[in-house]
Amino acid sequence: MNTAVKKCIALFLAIVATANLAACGSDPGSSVPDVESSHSVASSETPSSQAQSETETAPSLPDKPVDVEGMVHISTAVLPDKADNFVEETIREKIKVNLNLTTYGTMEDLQTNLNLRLMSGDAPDFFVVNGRTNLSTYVQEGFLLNLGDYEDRMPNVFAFMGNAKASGMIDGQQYAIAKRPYGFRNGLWIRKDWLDAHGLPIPTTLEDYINAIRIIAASDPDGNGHNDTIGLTGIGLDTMSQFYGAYGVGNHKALVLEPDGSISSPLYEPAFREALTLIKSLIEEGLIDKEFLASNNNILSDKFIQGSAVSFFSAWSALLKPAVFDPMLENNPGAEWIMLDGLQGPYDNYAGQYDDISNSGLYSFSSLLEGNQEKTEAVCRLFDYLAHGEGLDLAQFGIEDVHFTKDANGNYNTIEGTGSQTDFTFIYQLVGRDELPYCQVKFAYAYEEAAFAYNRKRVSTINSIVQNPEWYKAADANRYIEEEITKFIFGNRSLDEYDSFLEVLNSTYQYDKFVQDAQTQYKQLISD
Amino acid sequence: MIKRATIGEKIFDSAIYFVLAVLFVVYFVPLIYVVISSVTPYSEVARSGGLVIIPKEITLSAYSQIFKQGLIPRALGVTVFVTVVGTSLSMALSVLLAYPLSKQTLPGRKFILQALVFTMYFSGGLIPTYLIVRQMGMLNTVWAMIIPSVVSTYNVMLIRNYFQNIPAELFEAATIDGCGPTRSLLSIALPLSPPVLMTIMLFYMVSFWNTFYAAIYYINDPNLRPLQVILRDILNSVVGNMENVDVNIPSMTIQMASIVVTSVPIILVYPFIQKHFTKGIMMGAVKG
Repeated sequence: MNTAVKKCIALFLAIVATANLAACGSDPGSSVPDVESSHSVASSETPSSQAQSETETAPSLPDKPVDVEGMVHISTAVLPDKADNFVEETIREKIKVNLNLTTYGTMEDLQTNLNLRLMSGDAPDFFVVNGRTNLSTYVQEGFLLNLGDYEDRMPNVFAFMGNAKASGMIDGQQYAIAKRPYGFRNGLWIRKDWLDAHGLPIPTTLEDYINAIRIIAASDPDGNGHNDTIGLTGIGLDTMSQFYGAYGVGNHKALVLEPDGSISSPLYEPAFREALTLIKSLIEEGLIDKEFLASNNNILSDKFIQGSAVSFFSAWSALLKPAVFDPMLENNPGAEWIMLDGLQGPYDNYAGQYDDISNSGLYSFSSLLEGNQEKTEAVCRLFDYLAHGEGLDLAQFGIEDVHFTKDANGNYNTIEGTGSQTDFTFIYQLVGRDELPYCQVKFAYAYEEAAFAYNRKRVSTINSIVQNPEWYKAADANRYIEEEITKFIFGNRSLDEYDSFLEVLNSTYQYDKFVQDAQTQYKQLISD
Repeated sequence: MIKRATIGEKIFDSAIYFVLAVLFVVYFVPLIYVVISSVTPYSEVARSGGLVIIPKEITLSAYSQIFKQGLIPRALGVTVFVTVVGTSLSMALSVLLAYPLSKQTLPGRKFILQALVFTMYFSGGLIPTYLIVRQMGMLNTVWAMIIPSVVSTYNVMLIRNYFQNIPAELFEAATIDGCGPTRSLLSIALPLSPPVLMTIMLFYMVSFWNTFYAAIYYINDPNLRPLQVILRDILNSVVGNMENVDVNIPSMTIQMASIVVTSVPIILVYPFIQKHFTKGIMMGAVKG
């Protein structure tokens, strides 16, 4: 072979390989086999006799199921195989929607992928939006469909959202379906068997509570010979919620809805400062876990299982899960935990704070649906189906007479042995659920505590509907507030300097102006 | 005659052994902790404050649960496919690119090299890359985890440098005997280059085994998610879903067993390639 031919071969080899590199920008690539074609769209719209019983505007169903892609935030580990997914199968049969859910285990992953797809003009048909700040951004960018225009297609959705509806609105327009909130779940828990052992009653006042954890923690209740039992532990500054409640105020970041309809911040209340003084004294005394600020769910459940604290501040759902509660019982035979009601303090007995108009997820529709009537109808049909009657039952309890039965009074009963088959149906509760009846059926082991927690008296907040104004740097302000509150309660800054803290908060972070803005927003919202 | 070590040398050697022993403990303890936790009942782990050295009871229930559920075995299949096919393609393409570039006689060699180096400094960006992957029909296919990263310029440069160090006389002699470029590559360059090839193969293997972001960006089908994404899901679901009463959080033993299943296969590859490792890197890195 002559030199010229050899050179040509070498050049060819180099060009082939370089082309691979160039093909995919930063990451080299090459041509690939075709993927299966997706999004087969039904071609005709034949009226169906399977009309929705509860909607007057019953839409006609297409002959073939319409492909709909949704992006949701849930661990991949939860979804069953397609073949075992009776929820999607039922949805396909009943409302002719072929639902494909793209799931992400973390909200960060979901948001990364969603942003990428929104920017690339390849958005899924509906998706979870990570909070109102992102919702507002997406609205400005024109990525979302104004759902108000489709209210007649989803009457059950709009009816089901209830109070949560407001948190899906931007500038008076509905851009997200606000999934109903789970309800008030957090509170103080205490070991009742330890109270009994010391002859102490269940605390109803702040003073009784502090005395109880003080006495029990000092008595080496686990009998390990070390004075290592913590009085109270929890996750972050919210651990102190019930202390604030006893002083009649909300937490440091709360925007409180007062009975007269005005909005206020507890930071400006003298009672809040008094509560900080008490918390500081408890930390100094060693009654409160020094690690609570750095704690997380993992650490908390470990401490619960180890039985290392007399009292926990936590949601019932975190502690009573069998995966946590059973090992705790194994390690602490006879342990009995009870949730406390609001503790009567100097000014009140709130059991904490809760945003009753919040949501447990925001679902928006892609503006790419505009112009594709068939698909838009399909997405609306899907959400409306899951917001009432048979569809809501399906997402909550499974299929009637297979997984559950309903008696004449409308009470649900699960069919024995089918419980684990419906573990995943909650993913399809896109509009939410009836919280307490749902817990009664699905989590009977914790229903008592769930119902108790749900109905306690609390400070009402409106944080979920407030949009941060452009001039307000929420992240900076929140960090400043948390850092300074931490300094106050750990004694790194004297509480005598509380007024100067507020001065900086107002002058540098314009927090007072932000609270006023929140008031305006709230008024606007209720007038809408 | 064997020279006896001086006291200074003995102290120096002892110090080295001591440092190595400390490092061994530092690296080994977390690994052994993960393995032991995966076979110890969770209640025992929690009782011991999270640290168990010798478990009183050994259970493989976490492993049986993992494999019964089907999620990890399926992800393992995806990862093994991506690793095997990806590494094979990467090696073939990298060698095919490196060999001609190692020849001084290649026309346009300088330009091609500059073009290659350019890709090491500037990337196409996330969105353009996504659009290309989508345009090529690779979204939701295993190829999206292979093709976009099939050739690493850095690795190509290492192989090229190694090829350049092979005496030119060998190739000249082969050419005189009638060898063409392909035969020269297959019969002379490759048999002389196991150190660099094994090393680069290991780089590619580990990189494909750890595929994560490509799967997050390009894969929507849960059945095509690779091990690392599933592992992150499992580990994260504890923190992220603790308050979500509907989600059955995996116990610590299942988390640890998942880590073992996802890590051990690739760790096992190292001993087989280790002897080539240092040599391969050094010889590829220094142009002689």
